[in-house]
Amino acid sequence: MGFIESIKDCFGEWEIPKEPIFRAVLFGESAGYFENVKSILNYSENEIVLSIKKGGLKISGEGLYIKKYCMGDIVICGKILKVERV
Amino acid sequence: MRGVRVNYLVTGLNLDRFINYLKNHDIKLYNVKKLDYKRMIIGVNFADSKNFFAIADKMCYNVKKVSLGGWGYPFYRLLCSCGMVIGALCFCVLSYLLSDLVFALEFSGSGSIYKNQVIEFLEERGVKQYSRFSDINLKTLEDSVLAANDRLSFVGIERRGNRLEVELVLSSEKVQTLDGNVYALYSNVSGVVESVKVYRGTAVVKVGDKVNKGDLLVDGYVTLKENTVKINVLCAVSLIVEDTLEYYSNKDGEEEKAELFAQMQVEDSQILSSNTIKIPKDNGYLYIVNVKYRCTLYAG
Repeated sequence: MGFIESIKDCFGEWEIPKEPIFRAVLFGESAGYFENVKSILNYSENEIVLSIKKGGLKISGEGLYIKKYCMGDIVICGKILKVERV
Repeated sequence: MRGVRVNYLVTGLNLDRFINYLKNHDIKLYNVKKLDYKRMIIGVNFADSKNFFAIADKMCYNVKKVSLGGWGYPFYRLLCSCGMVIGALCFCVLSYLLSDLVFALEFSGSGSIYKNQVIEFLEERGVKQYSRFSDINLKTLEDSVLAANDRLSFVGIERRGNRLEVELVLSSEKVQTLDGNVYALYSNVSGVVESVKVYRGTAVVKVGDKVNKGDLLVDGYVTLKENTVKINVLCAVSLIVEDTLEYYSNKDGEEEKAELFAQMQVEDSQILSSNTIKIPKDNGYLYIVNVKYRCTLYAG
């Protein structure tokens, strides 16, 4: 049984939707990759607010900038200190 | 142009809306950095530049190209300056092709007085202006020029850029002079007559005749109105001589030495061809050199 399958087995199929609202992968403090982003609500060096399907996602840090943004995927670089749902 | 990224400076209000608008129109954005609340640097693919400009223009943003980048940028630069690239390539190809051509023949040294004869000789062997250096064997050419002209003691031919420099040094040996009191020319070798040049006297042989040692070649008389008058001769007869020379040595593989020995035997004559046969004899080897050479006889 794979890792994802074992998680599904623990939480039950209904807990993990086939298409998640969003997916976030952080590479330490230096970068973050976010999927299913609808738009950018606010963008500054210290804070980026992304709009996702249900609500938003606030990324706080220092010297933040968008490395790549296309097709609902975004890569944010800089010192990421906090990611929170809003 | 794939792989080329253009960085723009965008000036205007509500830059977040602009970013979202671009994303919604499937324009990939790279290195988006806000400088302040109304200025940002944004990178887009070269292929998307047209759409980017159209959108920026429509939304009343000021856009200024800042720089170019991406892995395809060097190729883009090359494409932009294709004229220069083609020119450089043409230059390289032409340089390569022309570097193999002889542009000039230059002569130096005391033997330069024989320049015209040497030029003629070189032309006979295909060495002239615009001939190829790759077709010329300089060492062989030096040897053949030296062999063809008795008055030269040294011939040096070398390449200097696209010029062929020929150094000719005169021989210090005295020139043989004709005394003018010779009334006949006799052959001192056996061979076949190759050419006959008679300036004074009467030729007794013609081209292709076989002559033996001691045969009369040119006689010192001339017939004028049924009267035969005795005169001294002035002539040159060249003979093709085939001879066999023997060289004995205890050592094996001395064919070259044997041929050198044969050359010494025929002295000033010009060797046309030679071949050596080796026969074992008395704990050693007998080298039989069959040599064919040109012997020119003068009288005057």
